[in-house]
Amino acid sequence: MTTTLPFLDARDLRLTTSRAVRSEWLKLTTLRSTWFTTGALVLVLAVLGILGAASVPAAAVTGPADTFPALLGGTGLAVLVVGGLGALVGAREHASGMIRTTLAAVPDRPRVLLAKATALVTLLAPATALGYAIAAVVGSAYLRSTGIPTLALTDPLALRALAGSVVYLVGVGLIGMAVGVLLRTVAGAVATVVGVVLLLPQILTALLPESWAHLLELLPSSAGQAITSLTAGTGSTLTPGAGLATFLAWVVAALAAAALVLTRRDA
Amino acid sequence: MIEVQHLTKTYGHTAAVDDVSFTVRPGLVTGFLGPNGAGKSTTMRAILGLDRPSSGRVLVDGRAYRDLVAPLSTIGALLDARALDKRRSARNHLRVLGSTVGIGRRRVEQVLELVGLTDVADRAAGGYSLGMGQRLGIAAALLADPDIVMLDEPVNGLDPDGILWIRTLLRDLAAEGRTVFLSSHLMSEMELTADHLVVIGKGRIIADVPMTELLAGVGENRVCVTAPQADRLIGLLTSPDVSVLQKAPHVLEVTGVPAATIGEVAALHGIALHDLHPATASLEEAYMNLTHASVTHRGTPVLTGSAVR
Repeated sequence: MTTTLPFLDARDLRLTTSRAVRSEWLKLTTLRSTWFTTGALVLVLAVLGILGAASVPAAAVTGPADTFPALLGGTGLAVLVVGGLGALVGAREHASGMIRTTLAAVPDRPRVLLAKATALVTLLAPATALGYAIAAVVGSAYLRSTGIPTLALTDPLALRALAGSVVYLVGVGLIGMAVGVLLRTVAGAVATVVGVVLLLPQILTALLPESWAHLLELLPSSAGQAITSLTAGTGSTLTPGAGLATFLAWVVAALAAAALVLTRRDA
Repeated sequence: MIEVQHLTKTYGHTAAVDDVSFTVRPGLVTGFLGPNGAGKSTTMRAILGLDRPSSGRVLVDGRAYRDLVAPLSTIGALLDARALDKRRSARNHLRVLGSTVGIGRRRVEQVLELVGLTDVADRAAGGYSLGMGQRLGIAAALLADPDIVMLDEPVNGLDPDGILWIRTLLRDLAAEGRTVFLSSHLMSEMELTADHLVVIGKGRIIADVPMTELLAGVGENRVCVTAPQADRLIGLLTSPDVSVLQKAPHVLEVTGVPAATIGEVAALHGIALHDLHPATASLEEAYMNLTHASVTHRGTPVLTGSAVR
């Protein structure tokens, strides 16, 4: 222990957005739970996709596009994982008090949120892409080996479905993060995200009259599924493009609400 | 420089701080003194832009905190040593903070060395003792070599060695021309560290004075005398302008006569003096005086010493 503060080499000590992103990225990568969760995410997408391919009933297949959704079979469970991780990223600092340290270092609060979102996307996009890629490559090889037709992975439809699925999961992660920031408790945020994304559409479908169906298609989960649909008329009237726009609108709205509340709230 | 201008912060209907104004200047250790709940932490949170003022404003180096270009190298603060992710190691916690202004591993190692945490820096910060956590918080505050250092109750949980260390460190930082602002509810701590004092009570500023002035104001005209014939001396000194307090059979505290005069009076009458010195008031007394005064304003009866003759 000494009592003189060592001299810091004179240099640029300005806060920039890229530095804020770097800080948030370090926050993510220096927690072991991040790697467990990310590993689980890849595993869920890969294993459930491959299992999905293995359980395709050959008799029911009418064309190559029919079998492709089975390769994306991990999406449902992965929603829980990314939603949970997002909620954790958004809420844990509020639970621990770290948020005050963060906001003292980065007083521009929308920038904090932007940095968090960027770091989360940087983690989730490659991880989900990897999981889906493993499922698609192994799964379609299996299907072909058993003589069941499936889309070539270079097929624009297949690529759209894969990319759409990545966008959907990353977007759910961001919604989870926004809800985490809004609610400030990890448990509450996880419950809310799971409730809104997974349970709410089913509950509303059961409760509301048939005529509301078009409105329900605008819920984040339904809009997200529309992005990945390969054939028209599979449950949704939204085109993939409209689904993408609707889903992204939800993500932006959630982040905007979080930015507004974070900016106004005392830390 | 920190400028607090007419700061008011209300939570619900209660004002945690009420029209508080003061300036913290560079080159000095400024103490922020007040009992728990007086508004110290609220004021400090407002300085860091964590809490929005209900009215008034706070400027750090002439800017609102949210407009600072390089926040961590402008002001390094320790408000709550527990405000961190418990599972992250101390080393990584500092890397996370430093990276917001482009500070890397080398500097992190320097401040870890400074606070004596190098050997335990890979342990999860949540498992740290109160004193270790406090050291980590101080390391975080000093990470970016800030011009202003603001610490809320920095000696909290530190062992005697640590207290001596932080005291020396803060004096050195001020001597380097930095602005040092620290809060405490411990008056004795302030007496040893601070040059200037801002005293807050019930959300209002009670005093904003240099330490020497505060102490002088209280110790004024008081002289301690020890004499075997104290009773004789009382008779010789007593006059309408002088009060004598007999603290022990042979010990007097005289107010209103300088020490030199007392010595001369004693010599003239052949009274032996075993001790004669001007009383220096402790900050504690000064503080009690101030808060006592603020209580008096609210109409509470003033206690009077029964031993005054």
